[in-house]
Amino acid sequence: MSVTALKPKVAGAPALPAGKVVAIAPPPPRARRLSGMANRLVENALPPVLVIAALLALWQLALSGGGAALPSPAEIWRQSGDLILQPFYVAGTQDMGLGWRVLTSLERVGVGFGLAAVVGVAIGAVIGQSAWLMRGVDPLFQVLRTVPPLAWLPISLAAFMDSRPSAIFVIFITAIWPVIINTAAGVRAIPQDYRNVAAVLRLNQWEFFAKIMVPAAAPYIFSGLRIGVGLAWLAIVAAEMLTGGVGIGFFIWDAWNSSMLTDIFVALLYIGVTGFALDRLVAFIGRVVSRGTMG
Amino acid sequence: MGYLKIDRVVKSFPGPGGRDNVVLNDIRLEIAKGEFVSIIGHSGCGKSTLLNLVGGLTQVTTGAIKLEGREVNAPGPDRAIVFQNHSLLPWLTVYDNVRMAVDKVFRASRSRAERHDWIMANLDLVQMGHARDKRPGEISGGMKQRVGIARALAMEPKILLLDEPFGALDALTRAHLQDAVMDIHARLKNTMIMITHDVDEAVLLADRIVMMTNGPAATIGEVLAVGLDRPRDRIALASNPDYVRAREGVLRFLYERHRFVEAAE
Amino acid sequence: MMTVTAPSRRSFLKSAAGLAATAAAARSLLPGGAWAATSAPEVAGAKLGYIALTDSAPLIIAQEKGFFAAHGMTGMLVEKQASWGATRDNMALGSANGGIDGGHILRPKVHLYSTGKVMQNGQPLPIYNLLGLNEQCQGISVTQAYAESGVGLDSSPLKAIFGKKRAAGAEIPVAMTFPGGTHDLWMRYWLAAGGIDPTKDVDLIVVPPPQMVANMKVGNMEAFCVGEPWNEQLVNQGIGFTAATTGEIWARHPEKVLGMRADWVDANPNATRAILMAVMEAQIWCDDPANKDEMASIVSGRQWYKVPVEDIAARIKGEINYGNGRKESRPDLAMRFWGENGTASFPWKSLDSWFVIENQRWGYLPGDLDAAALVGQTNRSDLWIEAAKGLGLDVAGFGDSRGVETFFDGKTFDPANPGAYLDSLAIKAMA
Repeated sequence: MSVTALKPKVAGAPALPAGKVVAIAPPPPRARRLSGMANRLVENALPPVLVIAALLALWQLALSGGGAALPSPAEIWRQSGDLILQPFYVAGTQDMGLGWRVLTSLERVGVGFGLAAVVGVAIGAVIGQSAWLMRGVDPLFQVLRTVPPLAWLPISLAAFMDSRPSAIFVIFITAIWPVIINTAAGVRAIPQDYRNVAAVLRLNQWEFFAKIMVPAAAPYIFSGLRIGVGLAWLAIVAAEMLTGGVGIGFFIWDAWNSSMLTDIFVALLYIGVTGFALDRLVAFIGRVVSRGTMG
Repeated sequence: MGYLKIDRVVKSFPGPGGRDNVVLNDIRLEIAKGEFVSIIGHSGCGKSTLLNLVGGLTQVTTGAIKLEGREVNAPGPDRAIVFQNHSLLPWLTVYDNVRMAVDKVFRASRSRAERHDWIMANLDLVQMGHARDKRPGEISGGMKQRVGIARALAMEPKILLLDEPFGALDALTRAHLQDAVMDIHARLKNTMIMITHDVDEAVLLADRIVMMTNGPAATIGEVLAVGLDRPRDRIALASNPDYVRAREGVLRFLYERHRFVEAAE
Repeated sequence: MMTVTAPSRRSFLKSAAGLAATAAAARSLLPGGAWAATSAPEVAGAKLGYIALTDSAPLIIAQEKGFFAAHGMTGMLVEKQASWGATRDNMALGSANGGIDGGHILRPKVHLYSTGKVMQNGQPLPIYNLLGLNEQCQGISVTQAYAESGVGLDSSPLKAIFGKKRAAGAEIPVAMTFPGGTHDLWMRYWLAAGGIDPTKDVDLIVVPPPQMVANMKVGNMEAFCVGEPWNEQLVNQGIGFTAATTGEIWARHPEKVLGMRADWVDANPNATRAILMAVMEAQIWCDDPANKDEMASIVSGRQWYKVPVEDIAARIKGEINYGNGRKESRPDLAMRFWGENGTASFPWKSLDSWFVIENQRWGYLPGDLDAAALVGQTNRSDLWIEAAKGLGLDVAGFGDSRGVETFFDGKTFDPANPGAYLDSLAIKAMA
């Protein structure tokens, strides 16, 4: 292809006219906006509130004709509104507000899940480092993790011969699988680069675990913990089937036995909100702990 | 001579069907203390493998690598590596990344205050002192690479190994960092081995250029001594006949005598 | 506290106030020290379990009305159990291991636990039958679809219906609460008396009571036998009807008992007696017609059963709405807690024998089991007598046998000759 030679500068060529500066009118001032925090609150809170209100209205409309199989929101409010409004009343040793019941159950979940977290991360960290072990235990894990919590109950009881550790064990064994599996994945996924750095620095086993493995695997570990805490909370109903008492799991089983559907709906509300809060809590802790890990 | 001695090193990996892949064959090289050596070659010629061998990240199949007379077969801070991917730990700040290395190497021998000063000195050396509290996610690629160099230097290594450290950076940043490396080399007078793809970079920075033949079973083809005075100014060098001749020598090696051929399938 | 009744036609001794006054008077006659020394309870409490059925009312009332506390058992815990299965497992644990020491159980469970037949791993759990909590007032409910079939006390109209369904290959789900328990035995007796073989002609399954009602609602349950308030709730919701209340099958039949772990009773005889005295006083209170409404309102609350009071109140008085047009007022079919002078509460050995025999009839217990020995081991009517004496009651009329029992279909059970009863039955499934 031909190359066009650049024309050399010609002396005396007329200077280009100076550019004319045209002022652009500034945009009209925006309508006054809310301050940052209030703005964010409205943005994040308003959509779910509107959606929920719309769903409640639909639900009420669909079921307001008499003889419906499920209770409508108005019916639930009428029969069990006091449960919503008074979460902490106490009217007897087995008659108390759902707030107290949630706290009782949370205690059990706390112990069971706490154990599952510690043991799960430890096992996952060990397994993740050995491809051989992974191949060996993975089929076992995949089978065991599908066992429903209720099925563990009689086994746990026969093993512990005491209802209190049995209940905790049911929660533990339900929540531990995602923790193990995700931790192992996180450990396996540690980039070779980090391992090289550790090698050059001659970090010992413990230093590698604490300074590199745990922070690198932290996002995986925390996603496993989030799933685990949800499962632990679900398992509470099964766990409390044996222990009875004043937990919210037993409350649901009992309300079912008494055919009090409206009570069940309210209990589901409490359970759902608590589960949501637990999930956010674990996610928040995860974000704090793994600051910048994904960056 | 003889500070670092690579003595008839062969490196092979087990391959499919029981046959071994020989990556490096009969490598012989001696490097003096304070030398800056560049290694250059086409892709697949085993440059990184050679660097990893010196760094101890992998072991020789036959032969030996000796540093100051002692055999090298494990990684360590005495042969610090600057990786192509900066390999900074993203959850630590710049300061903490360097501190991790310093604490590991100097915990016993230096006080906390001394270590702090040492960390800041190394960060200042790469002009990253101002960013000490930033996380790797908050700084640019070039800055990350500088921190990687600072971390390596902070280990006071006997040899600094650089594995295509500027490969992932744009040309302008690369130029800045090349200047920084030359500046460090001038100040510390340490021994450096750098792998590069860039002929200009090799000639600009190195005292000697090791040119590798093509793989498999690559070996050292030629070693070119670059006799340019230091400090080197890239703009002035552009028209320096010795520079041009050295450059030509490398280019001929790479593109005439050992032209890169795609491996047959 | 206790209701003060106006003087009635019944004799002073039989009224609740009268008995309590007698007991208090008896206690006040003795020097306080002597009384306290011989009968102070060894422990202040025990954990009793109950299921939310009307027959557990005496335990609830004993707690709510302070009868336990009045006899020195200030630390009693009366706790709802999740199911009969959970009751079984909790009894096996005992309160020391987070379970229960005893409670409201189906009478045959005494024998099933003690022989280990239903326990985890077949481990026998020695249990004592201390007191009969109630008689009668369970229900056999049938789905609304068969309301016009004429089935009632006589189950034979269902024979043709079920036969046709079977021939078409359909399932015939019939539910009860616990294998070998009272409801299982009533359902089997009722079916067998109408010529239907419960082991072959229907599919007998264990189902929790609310699932019984829910399944019947969606057409997935043919019949069930369970305690109140489920049968009344079924009628109130229009899903099914009551074919018979169990008092029609066997008048004055025994139902639930207060059973406790043998090791607990052996270790705490005084406490056991105190518990029995309190439960007896509660039974006397519950049998008083003047107290029925209050009883219904207490036990139905959120603290205890959590059911609408309407599902309890009527049948305990004998007001039975069968649900298929039949509405009867049958005080003789109402639930009895105490009976005349305590005949409903006293744990007759002959009745235990019937349950053992019946469980042998259906193969739950081995045919060669020594029934008399088992009853002798597990029945503690002697403790009942002591507790009754402690309340100042007349115990002259009590012995081992309640005499010959007669069923609605004419069969009789003579405790002196149990083999004859077994031979007289056409449908059996012995092990």
